[in-house]
Amino acid sequence: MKGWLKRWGLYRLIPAVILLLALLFSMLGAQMYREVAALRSAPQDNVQWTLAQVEIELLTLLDTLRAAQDAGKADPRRLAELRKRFDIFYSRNRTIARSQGFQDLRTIEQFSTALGAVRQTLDDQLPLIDGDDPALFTGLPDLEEQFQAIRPTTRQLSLIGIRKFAELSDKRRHDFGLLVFQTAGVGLVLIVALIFALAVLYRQRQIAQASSAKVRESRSRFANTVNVSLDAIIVADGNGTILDFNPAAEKTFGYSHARAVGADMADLIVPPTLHAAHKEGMRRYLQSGKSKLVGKGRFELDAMHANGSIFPVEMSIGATAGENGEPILIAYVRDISKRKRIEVELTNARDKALAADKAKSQFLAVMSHEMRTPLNAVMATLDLLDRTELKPRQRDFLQTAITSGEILQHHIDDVLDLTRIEAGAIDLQAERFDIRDLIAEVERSTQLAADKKGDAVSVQIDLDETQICLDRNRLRQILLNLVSNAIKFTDDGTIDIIAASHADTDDRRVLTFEVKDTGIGIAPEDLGRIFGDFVTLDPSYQRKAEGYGLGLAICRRIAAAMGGKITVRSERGVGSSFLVTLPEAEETQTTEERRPESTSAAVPSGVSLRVLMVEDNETNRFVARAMLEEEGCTVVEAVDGEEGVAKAQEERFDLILMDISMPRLDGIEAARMIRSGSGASKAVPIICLTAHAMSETRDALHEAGVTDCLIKPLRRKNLQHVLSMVLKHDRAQEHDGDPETDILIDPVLLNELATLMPPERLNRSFGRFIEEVGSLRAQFETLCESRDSQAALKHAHHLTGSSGMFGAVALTEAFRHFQDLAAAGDMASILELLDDVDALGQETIAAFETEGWAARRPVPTEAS
Amino acid sequence: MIAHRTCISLAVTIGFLLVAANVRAAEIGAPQNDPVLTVNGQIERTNEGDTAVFDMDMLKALPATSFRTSTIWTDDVHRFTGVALDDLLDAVGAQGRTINAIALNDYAVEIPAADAVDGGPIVAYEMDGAEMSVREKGPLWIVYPYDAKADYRTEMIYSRSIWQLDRMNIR
Repeated sequence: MKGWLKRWGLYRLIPAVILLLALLFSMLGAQMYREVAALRSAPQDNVQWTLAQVEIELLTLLDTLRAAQDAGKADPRRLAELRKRFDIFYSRNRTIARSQGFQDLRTIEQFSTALGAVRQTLDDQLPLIDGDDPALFTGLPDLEEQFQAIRPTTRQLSLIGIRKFAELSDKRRHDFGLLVFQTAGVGLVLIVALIFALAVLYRQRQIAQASSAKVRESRSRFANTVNVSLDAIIVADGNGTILDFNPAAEKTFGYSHARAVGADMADLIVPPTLHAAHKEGMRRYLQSGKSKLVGKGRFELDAMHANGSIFPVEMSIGATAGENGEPILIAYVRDISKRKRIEVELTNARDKALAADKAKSQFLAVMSHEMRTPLNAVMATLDLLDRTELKPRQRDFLQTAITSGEILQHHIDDVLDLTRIEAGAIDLQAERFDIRDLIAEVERSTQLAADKKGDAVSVQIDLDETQICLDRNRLRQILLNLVSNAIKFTDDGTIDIIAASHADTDDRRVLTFEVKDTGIGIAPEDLGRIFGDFVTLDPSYQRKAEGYGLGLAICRRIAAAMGGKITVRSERGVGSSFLVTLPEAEETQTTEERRPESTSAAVPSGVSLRVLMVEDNETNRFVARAMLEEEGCTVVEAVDGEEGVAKAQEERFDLILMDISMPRLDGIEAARMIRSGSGASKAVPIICLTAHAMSETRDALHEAGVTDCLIKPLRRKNLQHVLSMVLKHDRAQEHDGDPETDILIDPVLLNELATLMPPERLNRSFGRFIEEVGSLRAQFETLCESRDSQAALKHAHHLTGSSGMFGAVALTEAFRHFQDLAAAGDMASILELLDDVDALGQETIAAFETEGWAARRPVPTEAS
Repeated sequence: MIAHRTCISLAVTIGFLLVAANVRAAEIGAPQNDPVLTVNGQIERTNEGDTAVFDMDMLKALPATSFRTSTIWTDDVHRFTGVALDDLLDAVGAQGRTINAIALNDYAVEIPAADAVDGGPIVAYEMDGAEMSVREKGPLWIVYPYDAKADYRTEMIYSRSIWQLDRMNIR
């Protein structure tokens, strides 16, 4: 019921209903009053009185008539009285006939007939009444008879009237009774409605009491919450006047509740420096309801303590509407000076640690650099010594020294590389290349080591598209490192290089390179450490191998810089698998070809170049001179930039080698002066020597007119490369070179190989390769006959590797094609191509001989 | 010329009024014909002992008041002319609060003196310009202007509308 009422909002109708009832009640009451007044003041029997009068007046008439008769003669006074009584009776009859009060009665036929009869009688007597006295007197007996005759009729009129008015008053009584009843009914309903309204009001009051109790309870709970809060809570109105200030706030700000409440927040806790901003913020908030702080979560600010000290707080401000709709602001404030102090301490500690780390890196870099300079001299000297007549035993010693020196040099390079990467100086140059070439290169570079350990290296390329886009040099660095490591920890096992690709969520091609070995494996507890810096595992393994050193740490950093990663899975005694995942890069626009030209010619013997050597370090000067002279060059020295410029001015050299960092005038400036001057060597190639290969330095060099740049240490192979370039440049000016030779073989690779391999071993390998090339036709013919495509594939793969290693470019391509054919089982095509490939082999051997390689073969293997 | 005549008639009228006022204030005169109305009780001016007796001419000599109204006892609207009740009371110098009016047939009704107001009931002696016979509720009939206001259309007022008025007793 209540719910129903509530649902329809009928509670609101109650007053209207009561009002309506009251109105009805008062209307009925008014009517009742009128009825009662009418009953009291207007005698209902007026009409009845009139009717009664008819009979009385008739009787009076008869009386006066008899009195006139009794006089015995025509007494004028009595006759006048008779006439008056007649007139009165006549008038009465007329009144009943005309008056509205008798309208209802006149509708009754009996009544109107009676009335008509009386009227007729009266009208009949008019001549007599209005006649003279004697006539009237004479007619009196007849008149009496006539009037006596209408007495029953007049009685009838009265009786009909009484009957009718009895009915009427019955009806009136009934109506009045009904009115009373209706009034009482409405009054009753009104009372019920009032009681109901009272009940509703009572219930409302109960609800209001309950809700006010709830409000009181929640207010007290809120007050308790505020009081026990650890954070300071300040409640203020829109003007900034503090309304509440909890105990935590008292403690935080040093003001008592009594002091704070009623005070202006700005005066109390806002530092003077923030007053203007506070006022502006409050003004804006009051005007627009918008604030940078209110309802915007936590923020940090400065606050002021009672003692005037400023301290940092973290606070959040909420707003709620007060009684008049004015905003009430609630601020939760936490003193964070302690936290801030700790933060500062932590920041300081971190900065110190970072500084120390940086200092360490700096130290490492400097140390490495400082170590490298003398080491370069040692290595160069050892190179020189290698070119002299030595006893085999001495040569062995020398080889050990060179190998160790190279390892040391490698480590120092690693440290420098690492510090460079750490400094964010890694400069990635993505280019498009064939991954097969790169892997073959890696395979070649590591083949020697693999051979030494009896390891078989196999390559598997699961790529539909072998052209990939990445930083070639960095990828080679990673793969070389991983493969070298694998070889290092694997004896008489297999090392698989597997290249594959998949698409990532952005549909980019992601390349994966897996290097899997069957080596000693890595203990699970060490797996997480191997990518760290200078990690070597169990010393017992170190005896077997040199350890990982910095290699993996560098690889990890390079991979990360390329947007990829390196992961490792390993099991002790079973082997390790390193997986490099690299997303394919966008090709970078390069202005400079950084790869060494693979088609450059070796330095032909007997060529004499005049070289100006500008170098302040005496040792370096000595080493460089020795190397250059070894290559058949004539060397002129200059000890600094100024001297170098002066000498270049006087004489035309074939080449200028210029150190960069020199006192008085550095290499870049010197190069610029030579180029911009008008000296004899104005257009001569200038090659700079530098310890740093920073790109900005390179740009500066380029801008200064430097032709190329050699990274120290100056090694024979690098020098030879530069010299051959200069020479080729000269030659190209004289005549076109020998394109065919260029295509067939890459002598640079051979030269590199010569520096890497002990000569006797190189000779042996080269000899075996020549033999294999010579016998390729017979080999493949046999394999084709037996239709052994697997064996053909294996042989083709082997030949691809060895021809690649020795720089037989054309042959490498041919054998790779054989691999593809064999993999497809197409032996017929191999057979078809065999003549051409055999011819190519012969040409290649001839080309090697042309390059003077056949002449190197008889390096004494046994010199005792 | 016209102004001159107007001035004269105005002067005559004022003079007449002054004389009439004097006469009424001093003396109500004596009836020359059959009396139609006798007034007694608390009155200051009388002409026969303690009674003021009026014949029709005397009544007509008093200021006349006329209005049109319908009544519940007659058909249609009629013009009634007569002496306003308050004028009549003034004429006899009535002091009482109630008028006991009695008809020829001895019908009697009490009329409060308060009813005698300007625009109130008149003692009519003419209906539609003709005197009323006894047969037509004459010769005197106290008529209220029933149509003028609803208060005059009540049973009470109807009962006070006494016809064939014969005498009045002021109490």
